[in-house]
Amino acid sequence: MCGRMTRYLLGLLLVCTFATSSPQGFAHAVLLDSSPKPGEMLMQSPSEVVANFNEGVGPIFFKVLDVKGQPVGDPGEIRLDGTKMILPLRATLPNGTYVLTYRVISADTHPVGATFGFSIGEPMKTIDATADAGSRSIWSLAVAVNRWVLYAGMLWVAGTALFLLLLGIEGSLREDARQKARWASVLTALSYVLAVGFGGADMQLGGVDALWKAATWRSGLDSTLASSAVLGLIAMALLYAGFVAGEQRRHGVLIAGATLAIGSFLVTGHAATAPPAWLMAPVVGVHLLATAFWIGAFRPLLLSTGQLSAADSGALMQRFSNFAVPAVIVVLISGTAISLKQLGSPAKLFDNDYGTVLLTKIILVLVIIGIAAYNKINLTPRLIANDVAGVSKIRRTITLELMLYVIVLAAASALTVTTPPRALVATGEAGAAEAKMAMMSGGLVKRTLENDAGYSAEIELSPAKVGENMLMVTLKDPAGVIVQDATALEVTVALESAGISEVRLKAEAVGNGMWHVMIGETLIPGDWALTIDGYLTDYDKTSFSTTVTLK
Amino acid sequence: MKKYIPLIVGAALISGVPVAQAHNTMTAYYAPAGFMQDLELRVTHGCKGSPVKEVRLKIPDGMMRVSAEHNRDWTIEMKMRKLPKPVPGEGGNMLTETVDEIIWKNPRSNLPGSGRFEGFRFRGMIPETAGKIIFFRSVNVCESGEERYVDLPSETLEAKTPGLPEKLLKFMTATATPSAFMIIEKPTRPQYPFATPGPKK
Repeated sequence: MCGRMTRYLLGLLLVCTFATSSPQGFAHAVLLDSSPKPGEMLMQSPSEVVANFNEGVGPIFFKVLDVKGQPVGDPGEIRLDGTKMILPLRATLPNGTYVLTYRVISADTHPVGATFGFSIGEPMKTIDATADAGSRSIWSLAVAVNRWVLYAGMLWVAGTALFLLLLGIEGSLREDARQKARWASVLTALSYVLAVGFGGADMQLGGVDALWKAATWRSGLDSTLASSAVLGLIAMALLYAGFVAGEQRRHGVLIAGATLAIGSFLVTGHAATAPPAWLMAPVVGVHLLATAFWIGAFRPLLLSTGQLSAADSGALMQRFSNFAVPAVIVVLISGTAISLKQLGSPAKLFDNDYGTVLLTKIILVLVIIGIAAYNKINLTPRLIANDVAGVSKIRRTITLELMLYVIVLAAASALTVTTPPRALVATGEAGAAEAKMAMMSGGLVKRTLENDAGYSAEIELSPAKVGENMLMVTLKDPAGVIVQDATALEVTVALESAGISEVRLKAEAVGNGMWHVMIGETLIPGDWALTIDGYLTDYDKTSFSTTVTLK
Repeated sequence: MKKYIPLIVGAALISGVPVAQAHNTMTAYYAPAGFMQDLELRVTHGCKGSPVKEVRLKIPDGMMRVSAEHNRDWTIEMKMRKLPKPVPGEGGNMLTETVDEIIWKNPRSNLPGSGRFEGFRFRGMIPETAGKIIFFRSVNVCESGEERYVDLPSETLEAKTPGLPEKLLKFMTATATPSAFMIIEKPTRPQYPFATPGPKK
């Protein structure tokens, strides 16, 4: 008895030594059949789980885990019956999603393992991106409209602060600007809160009553919309305080508020979060800042034509244009940079929704700039010369500018809910829906991996959460040029903490040197090891490794 | 018997008894430098149980005068590569290209995914670099999936590398897809018991 025990323990020790010294599995013992099968939905809790191989195996482990990675089902001793490995489950498993994982040693001495999900009594809990692809959420319109209000409100409030700070106007014009900005700040604050709810409802594909469900708000709060809202609410509170009437000038409060307000737009959305974020976020920031100044100026300038003499109004316009001309240049340069980044190439302006909306926006902005130039060159000198006829003319042109700007903001908010070509992959609608989902929930892991050979791999994992994940990979050679003609690309995933051994997946080429693979094995939270093997030719492999934490 | 598998494996590893390798390997692990040598790539299994329908082999640099043994079961295709500079051939002619890749495809029946092995025979002139190790990278194309045995060791291994057997074993087990390898030995006697014809020195 004692001898048998010792022998068994020795065997176990040796297996452990072997298993740990050989980090990767070999595909030798082959799983022919299993019960449950991968992805199968059982009607009731099984009394045992079975894996049947092409040859006899020695088990290292064989477990049923819940989606948190905890062993469940009160398993008995693993039994071997010919080529079958059987794990009795003594407890009844409640309905839900489970993970079956095993690692065995095959007759040719190599440890092999696999992991797959199954469910009992209900469909497996994975993010079914293909099911979502066709159905556009009823909330996406609410998201877009609210975004429009948010854009207009935020730019108005921050812009008023900028306008007052830079032009230092006095009297009734200032009081009016402050009062309207206070109202706008309250409205904007409300819009920030609604953005979280609407965004959550959209992500959950919620029904009409979604706003009354806790899950909606939770998923909104899980996303970058939450940090945007927090920054935005603080910004609006500061700006409101800054705009409270009185002789005291609260420059510091206004500057802080305007900065935070702009910042709240930089933590979310695909423009500011596009790689490299350290560059794109500031570019989007100055774009918004310059736009805000312009929008903040509309009402005071319009009012000045009625309240001030033509000459004084003209002088104000002149001072405004001292700032407005550089602001226009900034808007144009930063806008071009953002557009190119999002489109990939100027040709993309014409063949997709994002391009169409962007093109409309660009044309409108150019028209506005044209009108503004006419105002500056033609009408402002007439005002300064106290030409009263010029006053009604400039009122009309400013009103027209303002109306066009409202449409521009609508286009800008439509852009935020349209997937840019950058994120649109060649897998069609499903890809777009996934990319959208990833951006909305903010769960997108982007990394650039490098190896000793100088090659690099840009990876995007979305939604980078427990459940099904989409991985996009772009390989670059040592000169930084995208490798367009790699033969194949394979991805290996493993979760050491749960003993889940390597699962090897083949990626598909989707054009432009991009590779796409859906990873269905990431069902358990933990630090998942990802290995990417790019085959430059049939025989030349270049590999990269990284770890992603999935929750 | 099966419950003793772990024990056998462990014992084999500890005692240094050779453990059967189950990848694409060279049937012979050694070859003498500069010899015309018959060679065989051994395919031991398919891709996760899927039968093999095509085998591709990359001929290592420095290996010249390669030809494949005629095979009535597989269609053989050779791909050539340009040599960096022409090399004198057997009859004094100048060779400008050499075999780059041998492809065995369209078999009369696919090689079963497990339980059978097959040798893919070819011959060629072993490079004159005694002490070096050359790697034969190969790809199995299966009914479903592919396996690329193309991994190379992380450090340069040579016959005189200290601890070579352990390092080779580590190389063979560190990844799922190591390349087949062959150690080039210093010949202990001439290849032919007669004077070989060839270009005048």
